[in-house]
Order: sequence, then structure tokens, then C-alpha cells
Amino acid sequence: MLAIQVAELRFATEEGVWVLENLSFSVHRDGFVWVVGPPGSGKTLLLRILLREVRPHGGQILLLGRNILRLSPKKFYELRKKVGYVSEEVHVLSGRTVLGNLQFKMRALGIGGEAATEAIERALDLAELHGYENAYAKNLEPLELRRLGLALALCPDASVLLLDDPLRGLGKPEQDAFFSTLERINQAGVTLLATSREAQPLLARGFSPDSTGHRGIVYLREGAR
Amino acid sequence: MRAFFFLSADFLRANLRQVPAILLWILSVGLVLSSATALWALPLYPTVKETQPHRLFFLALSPLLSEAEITKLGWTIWAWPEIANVSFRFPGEDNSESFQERTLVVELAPTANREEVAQKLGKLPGVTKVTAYERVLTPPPVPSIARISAIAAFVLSLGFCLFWGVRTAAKSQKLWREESALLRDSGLPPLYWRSPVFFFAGWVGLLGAGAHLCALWLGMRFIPPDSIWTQIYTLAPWATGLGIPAGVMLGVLAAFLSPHS
Repeated sequence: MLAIQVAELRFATEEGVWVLENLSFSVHRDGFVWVVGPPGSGKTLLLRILLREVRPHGGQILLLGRNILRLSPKKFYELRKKVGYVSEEVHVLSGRTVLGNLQFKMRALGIGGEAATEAIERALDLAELHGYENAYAKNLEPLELRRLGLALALCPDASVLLLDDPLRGLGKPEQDAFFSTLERINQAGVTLLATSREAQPLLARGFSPDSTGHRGIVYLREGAR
Repeated sequence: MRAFFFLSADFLRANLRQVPAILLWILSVGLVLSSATALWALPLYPTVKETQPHRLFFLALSPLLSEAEITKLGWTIWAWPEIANVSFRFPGEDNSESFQERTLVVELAPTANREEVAQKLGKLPGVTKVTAYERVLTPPPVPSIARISAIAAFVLSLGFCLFWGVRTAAKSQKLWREESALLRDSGLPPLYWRSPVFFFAGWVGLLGAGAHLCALWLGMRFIPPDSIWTQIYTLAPWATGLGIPAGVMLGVLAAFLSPHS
């Protein structure tokens, strides 16, 4: 069963640079796949296309079995609730606590009561943020800040997470800790698609270009004119 | 809908940090509406209705009449259908017409027959003399400085209102930028994270309209009857009815023109 299926995806800039050219890959429902490439190779662009923020010039994208390029805005919005996104610069509410951040998102989505409490509890658990509930976001260390980003993306019940360069700026011990959090989330049944500039830390953790779909690496080359 | 109200309330909470700027924005909306009303109320030229004569009778009263009897007499006359108004003057009272004795000034209704009423008034006990009088009220010319001031006030206040509104709306979005970034990342459509600023600006416009209406209805109590602003009495209901949507539109327009973060 596939969570993400990208086939012959193409995107060119206004200047005629093909950033993505016939890109194809897939991610299984229990998969954890990295998209690796140098700056300007289209990693963030790929995620923005998957979030339908940018329209590609060709190709097909199936997200949780739905062709996102053909969905109505209303149906895509429903599907989007299942897809969490953590941007490179994690967006949190610095003046609120970890719990306050999660409660804000739930209330903004119109979810309250028992459902909100359960979703927040699950997100705190998966993102390993128990004990930080009352800590203010502005006082969090980079690792906990990334975890808060994860928790926010997981709320209310995301089954796919898209992460834009989540390891960037973290030291080796923090990277290891963050990896273990990502593995934990993946083992809970959440599909992960993340981007990175470097392949080495991923290869060292058992990700392979040959096993795309489960624990794989998709390489992007730099956009060419 | 619950989410919309939550986000709008949260947006307002974030804006508690710039209350003075918001108050100034509210006042500027009120100022635009008030100056527009002033410009509208200034008569372009004297109207026919204003040049019609007021037909009056001065009733000299007997010195023997008590105050209560004068009051009773005044009410009796005022109840006649031919009478538009009755008022009392003391001897030597500072007025456009000076009186030697206590006098009731009786104004005739436009359709009343002057001779018939004069006869009826003359037969009343306590009335010693009936004098007919005609007063033509010529509206004072509208000084050009008033018109220029009203135009300048309108243009300047509109310019300031939009400038300040755009600035304050932009600042208000900046104060809420973390929240809107989080909502954007959450995949919520722009309507979610853009609408609170319009809701907020609409409220500012509404409060501005409220300030304008307070000024209008309060100001009307102090306009002298021979002022060039008397047309405001006719326009007040219109200014009220149009002022509220115009105020809301002014607020929302500023939010629309503001760059969003």
C-alpha cells in the first residue's frame, strides 16, 4: 500500500530551468524516505508541490491514494488534514507553552473536548515531549523546538509527515536523538518523507537508494538549464 | 464558525499591544465620516423654504396677569390648529425685537388665516394689544472658508485614515505572524489566517462609525437655529444609516490594502 506516489513529475522555473525533470518515486504507508540533493535541487519545491502550494508542469501525484492535482479545494483540504508539514524554519508560537501551541492548533481546527485532549496526548507522546508541556516555546532548545514542530504537524491525526531539512542546524547528539524520535513516529504507522542536503548520515543509519519505498533515499540533481 | 471566532478573538488579543494606534485608527474613521457629513450638510445655496416669511403676532399682556395665568394662556393658544409656536418674552429681553411689556410671541401655521386669528387673539382676556409682524429669515451666506475647510478636512482625514489604517493593519498582522505561519503550515486555507484582520478592521470601522454618530447627535444639540449647519437635522438619519456601512468599509479597505506578512 502506497502513501505517496510521484510519477514523471516535472517543474521548470520562469527562466526555463528544469528543477524537477521526470521525477518518480513512491513511499509505502509504513515508509521513511529521504529526498537528498544540493541547495536549489528542488527539495523544498517537491514538498510544496505535494502540499499543492505550487502546481507542477507535468506528472502525477497520488497522496494517500488521491490524485491531488485533480481534487477540488474542499476535498484537498480534507486530505491535507492527514498530512503534517514541518518547514525548515519551524513555526511555533514562541510566547506560548508547548501545550498552548498544540491547543491553539486544535482550537483553530475547531476540535475541542476529548478529541483534542487525545490528539494532543498522542502528539506529545510520539514527539517525546512529555515533561515539556508547560515550557515556553521561546525557551526550548533546538531539539525540543523541532520536536514541537513534529507534535504540531502530527495534530490532530496526521498519517503522513513531510519534513523540510529537519536535521539542519542540529549537532550530532541532537541528530541522533531526533532520528530516534522520527523512528518512533514511523513505527507508530506514520509515513515520513524528509529532505536533506547530505546523504552520509542517512546511509549510516541504514537508508539506501536501492530500497525506495520503505527506508530509502531519492537523489535530486541540481536544476539544469 | 467556532474556529473563526476563536481565531478572531486571538487576533484581537495579540493586538492589545497596540491599543493607542487602534484608538487613533477608530478616531480617524470617525473623523472621515464626520467631515464627509459636514461637507454634505453645507448648503450650496439658500433654498426657497428658508426664505419663506415667518408670520408672527406679538401679544402685549396685562400687568395684572399672574405667571400661572400667562402659562395657561400660552397653552390655550398653542392648542389652536392655526398656531405653529408660542413663546414668552420679558420686557427688555435681549432679542431681535425688543418689547416694553411682557409679551407672547405667536407664530402662525403656514395655512392659517391671519385676520381670523388676529380677531380671536384680540378677544382673549389679559391681552392688551395684538401686533402683526413678519420675519423673513435669510440664511447667512456660506463663507467660502467653511467650504474649503470642510473639503480640506475630508481629504486630509481620508488620507490619514487610510495611511494609518494600512499601517496599523500591517502591524496587527505582524503581531500575529507566528500564528498565521503555524496555520499556513497546518494546511488551513488563506481564508482562515487572513480573515481575522478583516474582521478586526470591520470592528474598527464600526467603532469609528459609532464615534462619528456620537459626535453628530451630540453636536446637533448645540447648533443655533440660524446657523449654516441647520441642514444637518434633515441629513442626520441618512448620515446615521450610511455612516455605519461606510465606517465598516473604510476599516476593511485599509485591511485589504495592507501588505500581509
